[in-house]
Amino acid sequence: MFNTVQIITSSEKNRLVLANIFKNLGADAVFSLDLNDTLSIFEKVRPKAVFLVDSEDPPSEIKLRELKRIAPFLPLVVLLKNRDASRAVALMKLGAFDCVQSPWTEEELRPVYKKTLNLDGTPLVIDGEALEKKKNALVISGILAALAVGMAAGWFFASREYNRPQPPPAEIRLPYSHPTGIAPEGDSLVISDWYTQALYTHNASDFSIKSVASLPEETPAGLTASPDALWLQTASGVIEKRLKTAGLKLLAKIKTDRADIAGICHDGLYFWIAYNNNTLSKCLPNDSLTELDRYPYPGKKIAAFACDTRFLWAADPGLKALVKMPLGRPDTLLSSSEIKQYSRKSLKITGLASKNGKIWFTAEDNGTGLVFSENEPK
Amino acid sequence: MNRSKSYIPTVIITSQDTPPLWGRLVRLWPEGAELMSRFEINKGRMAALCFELGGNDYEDIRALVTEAEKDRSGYFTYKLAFKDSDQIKAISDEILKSAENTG
Repeated sequence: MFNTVQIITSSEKNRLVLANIFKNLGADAVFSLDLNDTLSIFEKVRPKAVFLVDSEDPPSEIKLRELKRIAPFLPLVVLLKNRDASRAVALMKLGAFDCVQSPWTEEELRPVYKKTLNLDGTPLVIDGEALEKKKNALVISGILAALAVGMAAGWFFASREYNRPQPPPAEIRLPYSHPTGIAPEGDSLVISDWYTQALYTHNASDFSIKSVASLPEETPAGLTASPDALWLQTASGVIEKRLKTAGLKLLAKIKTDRADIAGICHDGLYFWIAYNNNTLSKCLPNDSLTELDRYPYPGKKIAAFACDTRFLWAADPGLKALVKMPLGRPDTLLSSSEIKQYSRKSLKITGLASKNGKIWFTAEDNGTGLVFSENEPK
Repeated sequence: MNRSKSYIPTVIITSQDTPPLWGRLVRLWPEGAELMSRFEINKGRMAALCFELGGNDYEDIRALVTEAEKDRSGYFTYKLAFKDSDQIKAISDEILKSAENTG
């Protein structure tokens, strides 16, 4: 994996200083003279972060605005010419990830570089409650094992009782904070996370992580599965079709030219795209997602979208409900069932999936990634 | 509880003799905050924060650094306890107002 960073500076002197520093940090630094130069090679370079030198033309404010427009989640770092906290905070308000004051040194830049490139990976933390439960389970197992020595006759029945799989808790805290989509896959659930740019495959019974697929070049904004592929919606409005195998080989990349996609799903036959402007688009699942029809969404607002072989589903923060629509008449609201979690004002539902009579939700609540499920409403 | 659109950038003043620092509030509640910054501040030290919340500027918010932790990138996460009861009340009101507006 290349740790490419793009650096914008028109000064040859700055270029020499920064080239040396980033080389020592192990980064592959690509330099651009100005904003136009940056944008012209941006797609090719696909940097993991952009560092821009302040007090050069055009002003950093404009550079930040333009870069945020084309890559909203890319870390942007401003290299200040002097230590000015007010300016740093002003630029951070405009979207800079952080600012580094002059003199720029390896020591100063290392933490920012490491943080923006997320080289450490996401800490996978089990929450205290779950850890406690696991510890308790271990203690109980130990006691059972000791008892088993003396009670061989009862062991078979006891072990059967205690080995019975526990139902998963109603709401699970994820070890990452920004889930964007969910797709059930056999006895697993695949969840996309935009911040860590990865797909996490969880065991559906205990939610342990089975595997993590890193997608450093993409910012996953949504996810769905068809029988033969995973479909990834990216923040830039591109929909990618990928093989379900370990490497997630890219099969097709479809540009929708729209960044206002609320969700995607595959009903087993057709591909559906829900847009933030409350339209539902029915498409052929081919490499260009040929649109067949377009319908108005019958609810108030789509936060997340899913479908199965019978219905379309939407999490609707306007109605605070799960909205159900028939596949044949997506402009008809079949039912609207309250989502209790919407009573928490800080909660945002970000992903939705339906499988085998169960509706799965991913959500963000006050900096915590969550997943929960409900039985399909009648 | 509510959430701001993004992590709140903040100026951090630790002393009149040194230039101000900066960081982000990654969590904010009436009595304190969690602050992430590249700059090192010792535990037990007082700091004054200046940030914008709900369109209003909050200046010179007095906070005690109660916990400090350095992550593997080299960034610090600090737990702060606000010390001024008037400031605590003002922040509490702003958080409530923000929750009502988005609720």
